[in-house]
Amino acid sequence: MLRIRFHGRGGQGMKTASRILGSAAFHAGFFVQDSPVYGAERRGAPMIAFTRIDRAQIRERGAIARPDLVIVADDTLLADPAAQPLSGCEVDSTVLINSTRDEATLRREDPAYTGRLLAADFTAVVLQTTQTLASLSTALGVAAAGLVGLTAEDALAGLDDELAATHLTAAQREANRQLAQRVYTQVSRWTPVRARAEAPILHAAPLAQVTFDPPRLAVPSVYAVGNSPKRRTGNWRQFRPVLHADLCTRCWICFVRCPEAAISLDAQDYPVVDYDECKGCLLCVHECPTHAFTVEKEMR
Amino acid sequence: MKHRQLLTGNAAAAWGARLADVDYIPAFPITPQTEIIELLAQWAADGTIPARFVTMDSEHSMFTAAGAAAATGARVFTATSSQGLLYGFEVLYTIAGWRVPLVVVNVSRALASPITLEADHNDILSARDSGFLQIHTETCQEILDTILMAYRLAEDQRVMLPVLVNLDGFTLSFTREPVDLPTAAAVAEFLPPYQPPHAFIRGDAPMAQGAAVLGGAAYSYFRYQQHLAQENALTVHQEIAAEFAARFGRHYGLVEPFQLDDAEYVLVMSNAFATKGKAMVERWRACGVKVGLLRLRVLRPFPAAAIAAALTGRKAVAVIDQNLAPGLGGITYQEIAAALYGSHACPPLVNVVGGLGGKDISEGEFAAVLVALQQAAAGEQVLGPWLLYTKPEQERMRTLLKIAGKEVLA
Repeated sequence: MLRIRFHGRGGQGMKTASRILGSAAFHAGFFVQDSPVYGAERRGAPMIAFTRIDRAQIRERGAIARPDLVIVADDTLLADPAAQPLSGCEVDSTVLINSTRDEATLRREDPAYTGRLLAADFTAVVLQTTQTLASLSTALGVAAAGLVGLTAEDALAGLDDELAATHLTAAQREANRQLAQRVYTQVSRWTPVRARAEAPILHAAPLAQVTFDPPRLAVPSVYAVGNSPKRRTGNWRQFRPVLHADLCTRCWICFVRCPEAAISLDAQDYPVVDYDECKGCLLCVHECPTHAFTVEKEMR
Repeated sequence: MKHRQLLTGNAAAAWGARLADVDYIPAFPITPQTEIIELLAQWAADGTIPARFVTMDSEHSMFTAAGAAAATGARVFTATSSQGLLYGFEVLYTIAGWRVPLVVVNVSRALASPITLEADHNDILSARDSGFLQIHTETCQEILDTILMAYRLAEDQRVMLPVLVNLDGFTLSFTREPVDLPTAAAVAEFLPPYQPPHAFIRGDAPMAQGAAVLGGAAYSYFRYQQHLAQENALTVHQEIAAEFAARFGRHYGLVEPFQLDDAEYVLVMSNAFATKGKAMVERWRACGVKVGLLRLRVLRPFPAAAIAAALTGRKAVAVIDQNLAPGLGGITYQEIAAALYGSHACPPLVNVVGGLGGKDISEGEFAAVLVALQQAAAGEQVLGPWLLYTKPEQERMRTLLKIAGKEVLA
């Protein structure tokens, strides 16, 4: 069995990527299972999706703890303790990271990882081809299909199955197919991933004795106050809104509409974006009546 | 339309309703069920299905509308989950008493508090005494097939009771698997349109439905009738299962035995996590340990005889309950113990509680359960309830408590 785990942020399309891979493998005649896990849906929050591929019926469910291949859509997740994209990866795993940084630099993020690490800037390819980040799902789903050794024909068939469920125009579909072909060619220079040897059957896990705790501990209440601001969400952003004050009429629409309250007003009533908190939803850009915001790609 | 498709559990449930050619779908959203009614809403809007789709203000109204529509002779489908099932709870008992044959899908999600999203079975098992029949599913294919069988079962004159079909949130609801879609024509032969032979509400034929009774003897009569109809369903289910298997090639029993023939040790599980149990059985078998699994499928009526026949004579049996009755233990353990009581060669029965709120049951935990089974077979007292929790999970929980501002004792 091949076990593939996708890590991304809500909105980056990793559920769709896991389905593109699943559909591609299904098209090639394999048994397939794919599923996402996310909490209360939030754009930008870390999420995971799984695809299992086998020649026989799959007798596993839920999370993949020991992946053969991990796809990371966003390299900021490497340092996120809530995401831990490399967990369960060992010397015989493969990790593919979408990043502007090179493999040696990325390795320093987790020196304990000794397996194969691949990196490429798929976001740049996406922006050149389809001009919308929504296609990152196409790029990484097809990249995974190529890396597990599926043919380009099967990868494209999987993509077509997923595109059929969308409302994209014919031109957008064609752009996605071109993106897929380009990505497939790009990843075919890498040796395909092989299934890791099955782990030996485990001995009994050390079980904890669950004992009575006083209600102060045992109720789902949080006594620590003021800890929400410590959860910085600025690294969820892929594009940043930048205000050009000379075009701003101080109408405050961006200030009112920002869903994260990440825009405040300065002493002259001009909006100020708090980049520690701004998730990059770009609502302000869309709402601004005078187009005073421009969009810049984050380069970390 | 492709015959074999990748479908999520939710999409398989929607396909079940579509192929059953339902007339009326009252709906209210709740995670992780919402995809089911979204799909049906889309199909109703674009004319793919002729059903009337109506959004309601709550699950309480939704079940009331579902029961009322079924009482007019319409074929009715709806779906809910967790808190939604509980919000409509009194209506479950009410419409079961009306003896209306609708099918309701419940997508299991653990109950608050604390509020959460992933599955356990306290929601569906809370409805075990409501009068609804109850069938629990393991795969996306089984969801679709069971909905088709459930209408036959519900509409059979020996039964005439509503059915709850259960599937697990996330591990089935959002999980795609290959599903064989039967053709509408084949389903129409298996499940012809619903034609109630007895009186139902019609504008030109006034009647009182669900009338009040005073005096326990009248009340008892109607309640006993529900019970006897449930008992009939054991036989009727087997007839329908045999016909379904003949037509579609897939057979579903009251319970599912897996590698049980020569098994010395048996795990009893239900729903999607039974797949994990089967994987462990295969791994143990490869090491020469004779383990099998009994999957609970039809929970109401309770197939006590089938369960007793499958479990007597084993060296030891572990009932893994993905639910918890606080102050008692696992729910199905109690019922299985009752089914085995007094039987000859009754095995030692270990009660394990695991998988609450979707918590994983890891290989290491399964391995610990096997150790407990071997100890029980050797005469040790390991009855439980045994609350599965690993040391790393406990350490992680202590860290979370500290972050929440709670001083944690070492």
